[in-house]
Amino acid sequence: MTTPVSSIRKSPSIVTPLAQPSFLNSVGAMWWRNLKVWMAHFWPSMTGSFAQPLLFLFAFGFGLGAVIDQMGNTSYLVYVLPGIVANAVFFQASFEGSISAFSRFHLQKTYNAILAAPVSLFEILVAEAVWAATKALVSGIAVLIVGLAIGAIPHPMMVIAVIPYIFLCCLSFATFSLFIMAYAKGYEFFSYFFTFWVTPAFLFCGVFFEVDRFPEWVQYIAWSIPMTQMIHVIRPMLIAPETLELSTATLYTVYVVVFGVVSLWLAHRQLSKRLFDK
Amino acid sequence: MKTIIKAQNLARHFGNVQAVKDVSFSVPQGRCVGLLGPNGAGKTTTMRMIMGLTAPTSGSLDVFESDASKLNRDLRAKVGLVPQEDNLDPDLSVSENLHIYGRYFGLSKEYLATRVPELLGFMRLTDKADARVVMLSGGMKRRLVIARALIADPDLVILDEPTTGLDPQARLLIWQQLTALKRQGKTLLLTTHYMDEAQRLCDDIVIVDGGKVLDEGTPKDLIARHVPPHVFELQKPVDAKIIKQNNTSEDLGDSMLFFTEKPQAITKILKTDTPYLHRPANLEDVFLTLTGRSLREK
Repeated sequence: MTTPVSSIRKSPSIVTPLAQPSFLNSVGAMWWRNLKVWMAHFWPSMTGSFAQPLLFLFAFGFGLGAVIDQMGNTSYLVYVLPGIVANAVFFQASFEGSISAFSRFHLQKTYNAILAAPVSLFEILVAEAVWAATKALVSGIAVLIVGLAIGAIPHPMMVIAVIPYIFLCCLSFATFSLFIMAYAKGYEFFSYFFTFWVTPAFLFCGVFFEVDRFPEWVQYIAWSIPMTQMIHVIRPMLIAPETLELSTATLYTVYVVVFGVVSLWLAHRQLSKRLFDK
Repeated sequence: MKTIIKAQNLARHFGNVQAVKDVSFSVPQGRCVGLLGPNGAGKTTTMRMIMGLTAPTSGSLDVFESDASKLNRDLRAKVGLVPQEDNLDPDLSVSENLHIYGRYFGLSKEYLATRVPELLGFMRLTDKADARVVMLSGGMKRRLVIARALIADPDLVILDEPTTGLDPQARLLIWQQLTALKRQGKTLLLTTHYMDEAQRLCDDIVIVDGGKVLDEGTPKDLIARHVPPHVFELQKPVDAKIIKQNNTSEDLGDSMLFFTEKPQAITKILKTDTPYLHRPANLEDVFLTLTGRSLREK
């Protein structure tokens, strides 16, 4: 009845089981794990990634676009499309980095399981951010494809340059939600995050109209959320690349990057306390 | 013989709570050591320190002759952990769980393609390879957690209550396979609340309570040191003569336990129709003698 000892070690011919455990391997392994779970829930995943952002595009692009014809020199649909892209990726990255990551950390104890393997918490957090950014990017690309198909992107070739930029921004959005997640004790906690972060981003960051239409104090809030910087880079890239100044774009990008790096550091600090009893 | 784990005067406090006060023990290569203690004795904290998940407040802890809190990646890969909680990926299949876990160790696809079926066979899960984890019974999940811990062929396997909540058949299978691992020369460290399990699997036992080591040794030595070899359990009322001649007894409420060197001294007093239980002393007697019978509830 007992399996003979040899049956577990019967293949001495298997050489070097260890490839090379490394930072990239660890990050890739967890990214792959998240992808597998996402694929295991194929239809709900597809609905979240594609259907939801497209609903926004149709509702605001065509719905609101019917009321507002022109935004500056462009049609409202053309104007709002980059905003919808930004909103879609922002929402996805924020959701994945907060509620979904919290489920892995708190409910399924996935982080504990992975920490028992030769993987560090820093690697887990980087993997989570890269994964959230990947998932968000899929939604962004879905909107961009529809935008190309309906001719709502005046500079179609710029899509190629916009995609990596979106990915970079998503990393930053994701690490900030991981930082918030690191403080969560239960799911209720995320109502603060969605009320005071995700919803204001949707309303005030320039998705539907220019940020400068708001009173000054609202503008300060808007510019503190890095989605505003993102929209102010990708909108000109897709509509009128010649109007985008390099210095402005650099400044905005630096803000997005610093914001993301600081968030990652804070997330790591807080989760170290929680996971390692520090 | 090499020492795989060496803990010296280990202490860890959380605020004012002294979870571990003074724990010293060592785990030699190829041995199975059981860390036993009631709830709140400091077992889990000690295990977490060995895994490098909690740093000791004072004392030293070496795993593979390196500081446990600073193990490098290669040494960490030589430790397999079976945690108390089932932290499998519930949405994935049994074999996917193993494949994905193997990736965290940097194991190649070719290696995993043979290793995963091997481990499924070893833990009797071959038929369930494609089942999702949510569909598994508690016993199957435990077996899968053990298989997962073995994915990188570790030298040291740490098991935190590997059979809690399982039916006798499932426990038996796990015991058999842990014994097989021992025969392969793996070093095992386990905690358990089941004294029969500890007695059966462990070469050495470390009994902890209140954050301190109460005693350690082989199950046989511990029994010889702390309790007389024969145990009688008698229903009340018990003949006064028996109580008088036995100074090691324990009141269990409606019955009494007597520990004795000379069983005949008791059997000859007992009336022929008195129901009684006579058994050899075991690790549970040692455990209860050392840690007391009162409930531990926090």
